[in-house]
Amino acid sequence: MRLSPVQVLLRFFKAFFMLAFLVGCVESFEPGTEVFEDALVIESTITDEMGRQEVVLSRAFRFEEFVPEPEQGARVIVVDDSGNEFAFEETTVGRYTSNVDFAAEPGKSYQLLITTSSGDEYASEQVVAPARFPIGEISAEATEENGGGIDIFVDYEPSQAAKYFRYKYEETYKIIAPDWNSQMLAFEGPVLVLKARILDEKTCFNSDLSQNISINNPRLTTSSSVPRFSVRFIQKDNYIISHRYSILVKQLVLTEASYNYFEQLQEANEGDDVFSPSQPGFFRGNVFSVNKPEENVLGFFHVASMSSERLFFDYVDFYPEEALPPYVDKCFPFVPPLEPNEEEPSIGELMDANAIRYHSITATGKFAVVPRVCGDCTVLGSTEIPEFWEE
Amino acid sequence: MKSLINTCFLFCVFWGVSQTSEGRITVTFENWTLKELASHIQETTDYHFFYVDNWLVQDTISGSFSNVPLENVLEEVLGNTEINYFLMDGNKVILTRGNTIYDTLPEGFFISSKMDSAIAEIAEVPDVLPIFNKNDVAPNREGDVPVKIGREKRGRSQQFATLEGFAFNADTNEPISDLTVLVQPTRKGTTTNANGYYSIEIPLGPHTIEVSALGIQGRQQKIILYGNGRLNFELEESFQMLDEVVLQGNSDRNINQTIGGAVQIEMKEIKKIPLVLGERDIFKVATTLPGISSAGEGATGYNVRGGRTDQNLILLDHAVIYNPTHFFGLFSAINPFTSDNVEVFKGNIPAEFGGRLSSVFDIRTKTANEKKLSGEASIGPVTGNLALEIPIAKDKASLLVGGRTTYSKWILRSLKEEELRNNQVAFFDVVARYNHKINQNNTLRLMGYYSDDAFNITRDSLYGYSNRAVSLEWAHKFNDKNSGELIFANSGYDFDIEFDVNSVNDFKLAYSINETLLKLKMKYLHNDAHNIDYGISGKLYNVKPGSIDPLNPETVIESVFIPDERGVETAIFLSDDITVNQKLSFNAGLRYSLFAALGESSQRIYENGGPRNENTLVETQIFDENEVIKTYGGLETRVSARYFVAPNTSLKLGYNSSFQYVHTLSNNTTVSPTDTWKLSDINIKPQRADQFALGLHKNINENDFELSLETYYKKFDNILDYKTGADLLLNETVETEVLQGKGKSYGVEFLAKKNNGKLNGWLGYTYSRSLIQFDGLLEEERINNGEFFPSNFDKPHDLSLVTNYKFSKRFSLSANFVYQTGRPVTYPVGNYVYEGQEYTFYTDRNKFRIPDYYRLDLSFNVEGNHKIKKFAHSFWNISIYNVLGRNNPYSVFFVTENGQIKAYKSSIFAIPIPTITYNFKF
Repeated sequence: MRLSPVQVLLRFFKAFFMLAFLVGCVESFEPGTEVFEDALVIESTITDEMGRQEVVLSRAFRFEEFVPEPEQGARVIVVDDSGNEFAFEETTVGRYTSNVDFAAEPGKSYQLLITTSSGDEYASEQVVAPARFPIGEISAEATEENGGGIDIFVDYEPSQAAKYFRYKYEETYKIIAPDWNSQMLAFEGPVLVLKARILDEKTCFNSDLSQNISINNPRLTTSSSVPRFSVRFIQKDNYIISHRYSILVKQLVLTEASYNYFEQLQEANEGDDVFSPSQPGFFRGNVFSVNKPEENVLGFFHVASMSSERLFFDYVDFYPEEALPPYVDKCFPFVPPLEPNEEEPSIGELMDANAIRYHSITATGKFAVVPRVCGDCTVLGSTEIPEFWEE
Repeated sequence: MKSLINTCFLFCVFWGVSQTSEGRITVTFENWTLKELASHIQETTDYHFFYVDNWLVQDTISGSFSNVPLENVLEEVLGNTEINYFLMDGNKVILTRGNTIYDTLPEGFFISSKMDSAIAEIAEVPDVLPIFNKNDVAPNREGDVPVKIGREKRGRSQQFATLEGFAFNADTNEPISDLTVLVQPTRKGTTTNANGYYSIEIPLGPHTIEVSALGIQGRQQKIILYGNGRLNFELEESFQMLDEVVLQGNSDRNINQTIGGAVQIEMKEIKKIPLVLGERDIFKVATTLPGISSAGEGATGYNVRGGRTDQNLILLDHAVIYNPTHFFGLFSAINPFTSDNVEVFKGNIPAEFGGRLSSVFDIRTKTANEKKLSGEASIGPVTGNLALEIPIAKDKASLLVGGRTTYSKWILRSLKEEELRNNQVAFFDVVARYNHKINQNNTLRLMGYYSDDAFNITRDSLYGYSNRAVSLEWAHKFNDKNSGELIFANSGYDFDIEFDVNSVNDFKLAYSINETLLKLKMKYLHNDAHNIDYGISGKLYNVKPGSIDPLNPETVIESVFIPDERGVETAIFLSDDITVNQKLSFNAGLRYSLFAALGESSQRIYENGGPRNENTLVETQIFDENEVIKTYGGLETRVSARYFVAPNTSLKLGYNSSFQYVHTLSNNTTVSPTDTWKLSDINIKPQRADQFALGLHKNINENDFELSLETYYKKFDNILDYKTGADLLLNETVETEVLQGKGKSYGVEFLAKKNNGKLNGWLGYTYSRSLIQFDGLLEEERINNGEFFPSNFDKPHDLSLVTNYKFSKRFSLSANFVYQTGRPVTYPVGNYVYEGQEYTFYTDRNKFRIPDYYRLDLSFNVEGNHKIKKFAHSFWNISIYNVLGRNNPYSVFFVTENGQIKAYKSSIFAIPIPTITYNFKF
């Protein structure tokens, strides 16, 4: 990630102020909300990808609470500058989907209009959809930095310098249950027997979405190239790259205002150093209350153009000689008692809870088992092969 | 000299009358008190002793003498004490504390340099002192035989004459400055200047001249003034000064001085205050006074009467020190060994000073001893400090050098933690002052100062800042009525950051500000009633707001270069100290200051009334080198009045207005290492403050207790703040990120001091508020909906108690207690989720407060013994900072970790910090 000098400075001082721990201290505490202020939160990014667009509405909540309350029953419309209205409908609570497929067209401006069930009206600023800049090449590279791992980079054309990008990704990986066995335990009446396995729970796939906000404002170097940007780093010992891994990197071209908003969100999370606490305050998005101009509205209505690129690699591509990363479980086989006792659950109880899979028969003829995840990959994913998957 | 004069007075005199022949003493004693010894001698010989009982009770003595003169005995037994003796009439022994009784006037006591001033002589005025006659000299209650000054002219119509003279330290022959010269019974007074010179116009006739100063044995001298004349004082240091309190106006100064809100901090006494990590700190003492506070430990900068931290003018021998701290504010960068008195003006600021709204810290470097080499050193856990006073030409020129440095490198290296071992923290400061008395009328002073801080975080990144100052002062006396000082000063502050980790992000950042001052300050003593100061000053600012230079040839760091800023601040000033009568006096001052921002520069002009951003940019105006971009100026009024409502009670009233043309840019609640100073330009207007103050000052029991109650109301215009999330460093369009608004502060300050006795100290309490308001036309220019809200340093209750208890001459204990309302913070009003991550959100700024702050410090001083002939005088200081281990939160902040909000509070010294420091003086 490219840091602005100011960000570098911030980090720099943060490192330095570690010194303060010599004599000072930083401790966490349970805050309580002294005066709660309710506010509408808007999450929406309209893209140039034809499809159902989405607006998510929720409310701010107290410290003592943990989950935001969705804003239900609102009327949501997106209007473009030629007067086209796209109405949205609440498909799940707080989640509004456009009635029709549409795509933002670069150069056109869009406005979000919301009327809540209580009659409060909100309107965003007019947002001009940014021009398209197709995503560059995606590459993966093994690195020894940060404890070693795979870094996934996106490349840029020099023409993309100084533009505002946001990255999201969807990663999909193959999971192979290490102790999968073609046989399984079953009760025939009171008797425990081995049977051929009905379900194939050996190979699965799972997909995760990026969690963090990753933005970049690439710069030209002195030699007129643009340094690539790391969109994802996977630790070498992360089991998700054990076999085959695929990542779909989505590049959103943002407006400058959107970029600044994300930057502020990030900064809000950086926290403070001991000596120089910075002044927090409300930072405004681009949605305002129509009836009550002084009301604080959270969130942002983004309009972005999107492009994506997919990449596949295998663990052995980078680490041909090395052992696979450790699995999510150590998968030690164990022999549960046949009859329940006070100390440990019996094999029957464990089977009823779907917590184990058959491993082997010991020399004394007892059944050794492993935790379910070691013999059943569906704990972590689905056996269905994704459509895009290439071996 | 016809007669003998004793130069001090005793409160208690027992008169012996028996006559005796010269006697020799034979005595053996063990563990006697002095009193027992005196009684013994009195009983067995014809000698009679005169003393105050409780002077002689402390120490016990042993000895054996056989047939020796009494002088030998006294010399031996009193040598180590503060008791002096005087043998009179052969058989009367007068014991005095601290004072030497002279039976001759010191050489040069009277210098007659003027044509019309006669040889001063002892007037024969038996009616004044009936017990006095030429053949008998006695210590008497009033203490003094009148001296006759001036030539009496028959039939002269003149009613007033000028009395002038110098005050010298009898031990070091250094001039004594700030000595109060008070003429009784008129209560007219003046103080000596840096050369120890004073001049005062008083009515002809009999007077008592009282002189006093901190650390100096005060004296009263009766005179009969017949015409212009000269009276010099050669005064001794008072050993009682150890009993006195750190901050000390000259005796009665607190009630006499016309201007309000001024305090003097005595450097020598700082050792009484418990220390943090062994460092004496003048500013820490200042913050125990009402009206002066800091944001907390480790916060650079001071808030004086609700003013921002950039509103203090900190002067070291006339040169501005921009950042007088080390280690981000934990330690002061002013060497306590080389500094003399510090004058702090928090109310009325004398007209000669300007450019900052809230206060002036006028720090002066000591004039070195011109007679003999002397020095002072200390060894503490963090720094070593050494100051030397070097005579260059006897009684003419001397040099003071002082240096302080850390040995933290060594400390950090010995740490176990790997992470910290790679750090490097080092700071030092050096100061030198050369003083040259060219002749009676000309003195030259040259001062140089440098302080430096350097921090290495990782092996390849470096942060450093430094202050530089030089000043040259030529003081010239034209004649009795006119004198002047020509001052040249240059000071600079800069910081550098180098980030070199071998990546495309490597860069070097630099900031610097430099200012050059030329000032002419004249003094004209018109007459008794008018004492006029006037002058002119000009200051040139050069700011290099910063540049970023990439360090790597292959880099993404853009070279950033913000163009230099230049400006000239000029001022003329005039003030008159007007004595209307004994009770009423005025100090009327005016200062006209004019600031011109100079090119070369490009200034952005925005639409009127619109937000300042790229879209409202109308044009960019280009200015050539030294072309005037914009001028600001105005009249600053500094008026104060003092009225004695009762003999020891004065009422002071003041109005003070000022402009400030330089501002700090900081987006931190306190002061951060990357704060920069910015000059006013087309878009950023100067700040202005107006202060009204009223004070009641009272001394009880002479000067034993001092009470003061002051109240003020202050309003500010165009104070700077910034929009949330603003990037101020290296921002070429800073005006788009800052806001200018109003402020007001008001408060009541109470100070009670006990100056003398075994238990001394002071109690300061302030109730004050500091509010600010940003009410722009546009939503984005408003904070808290344009309402007044508490500033970051609004701490309504502020209590400081500093006490000092002397068990004996060698042992003393000090305690320091501080209580403050917690400072305002912006506290989140709720949480929200955005794209799966939790965030907090804030609305009203500074609506809440961090918990109250309190702290107790203790320190124990052990003095080496006071043998006069001993090579070095030493003392140990053992301090415990924050004895209660109170975890005073310094800030509260919120971080999103793994999608969850975490709240943290940080504090700097959360545990008791013990330190031990060794000091010695030679």
